[in-house]
Amino acid sequence: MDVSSNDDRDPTLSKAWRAHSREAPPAALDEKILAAAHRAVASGPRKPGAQATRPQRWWMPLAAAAAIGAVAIGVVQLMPQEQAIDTTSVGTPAAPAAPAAPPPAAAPDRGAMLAKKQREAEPAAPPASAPKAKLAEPPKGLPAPPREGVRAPEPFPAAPMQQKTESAGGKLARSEMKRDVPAAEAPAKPAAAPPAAPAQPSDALADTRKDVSADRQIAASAPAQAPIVAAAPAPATRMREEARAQMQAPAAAAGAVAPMPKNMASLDDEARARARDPDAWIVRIRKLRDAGRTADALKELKEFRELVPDAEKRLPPDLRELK
Amino acid sequence: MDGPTDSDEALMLAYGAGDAGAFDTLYARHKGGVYRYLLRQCRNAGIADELFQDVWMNAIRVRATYAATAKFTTWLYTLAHNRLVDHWRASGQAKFASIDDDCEGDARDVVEAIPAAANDEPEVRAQSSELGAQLRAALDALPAEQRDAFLLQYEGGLSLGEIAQLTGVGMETVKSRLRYATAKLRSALGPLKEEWT
Repeated sequence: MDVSSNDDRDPTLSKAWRAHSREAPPAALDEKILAAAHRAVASGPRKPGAQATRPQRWWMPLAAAAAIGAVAIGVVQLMPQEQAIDTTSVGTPAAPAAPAAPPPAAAPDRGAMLAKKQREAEPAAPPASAPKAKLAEPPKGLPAPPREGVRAPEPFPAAPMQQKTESAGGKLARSEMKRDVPAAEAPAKPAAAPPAAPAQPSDALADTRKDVSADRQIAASAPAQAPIVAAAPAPATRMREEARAQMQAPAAAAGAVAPMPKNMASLDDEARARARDPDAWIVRIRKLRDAGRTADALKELKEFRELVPDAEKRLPPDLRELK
Repeated sequence: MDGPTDSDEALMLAYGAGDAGAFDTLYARHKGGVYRYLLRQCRNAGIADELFQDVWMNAIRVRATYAATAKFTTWLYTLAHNRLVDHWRASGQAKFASIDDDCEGDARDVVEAIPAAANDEPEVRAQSSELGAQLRAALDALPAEQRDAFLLQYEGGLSLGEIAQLTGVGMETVKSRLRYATAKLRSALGPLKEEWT
């Protein structure tokens, strides 16, 4: 006999029995037994399609999302502050001379960083005049050039300004800054104030700008003289630009040299500005001499020798022997 | 049809190895049969619940020592059967005292000796809604051994050999018990039998 056979079941009885025997254990008993079974293997009861609701599973992505959200909110909250600082720091009361050419003092802080970087990269590179205009432009991708009417919420103290200028401009800028502040007269004072505003931004922001601008500057192979130009304070740079414009003007070739400033303080400033471009200054002196203004030429030659450290080396023989 | 990995035995082994989901599947498959087996035997829902819980708790407890040497259902219903015997012993009843182990020769007499259900009237039996009650009444009227064999076969799906193994009696004895039980229940169906054919 087949021990596994159930052939002797009565199909009619089986059908009737199954139709009328449907009792089941209470749901509470089911839950109790299933819970005990899951506890026995150290896991919680699992409901169909509810695996994600298990406590040890669902909170992990939620916590990760919350952390990411918190970081994102923090970054978003910081961004407007940085932009505000940036706008304020870049802002200068002096309006740009021409819309096409933003003023070189647009971002002295940035320029200072750029200058420092450039000086480290090319300490002994010969000066070149061609890329100067390009240097005067603010690096691309950085905040817009200064806008009139944008002011810092509070006036910035003088100490940070000086410290920032020192770090930016090096020894030359430092010495000039120390001399500028006491020597500034009435017309120069309003112009001397604006550079203080750019000097205020936080160090972190300055570092960021330094990296960006320095990288751009190195990629552009800027000349070694650029740091001096970029580090100059706004009034001096403006005067230098004026002098350069005068020298490059067609009329200047015919001896139409701009008259010397009557104000000595302005003259000093102008001389210092010229000292930053010795080659151009030499050309100017030579033009003065050629125009017959020997006295002026001698005066500027004297200033040249005082302000330019290696004046004798730079001076051509004809000017070196000019008496 | 269950594959090899979904068999009761594989699921129980998986549960013994720590897969709680395997127990869920096993429980869903067999909870009804085990519950009805206990309920029909003890005829008390409260006691049936208690015994049912004990059976499954016992299965959970001995999960690590489970070996697939026999069908899972045989193992599970053995747990239920033993728990039921313990219950009867504890309550002073002797439900499985054999009365028909050697009565194959006079099976008809034994079946006729079984008291009929109280509502064993033709007109009542004609009502299909009461057929279940008729069947339950007829089952209740069966001796415990016959009822046990019948329930193991119809609720647990066990074969004659498995029932014999579970109850510890010979195969012929199981056949005899089943024959008695079936005859009585057929008679309970009576004229309604044709409706189920």
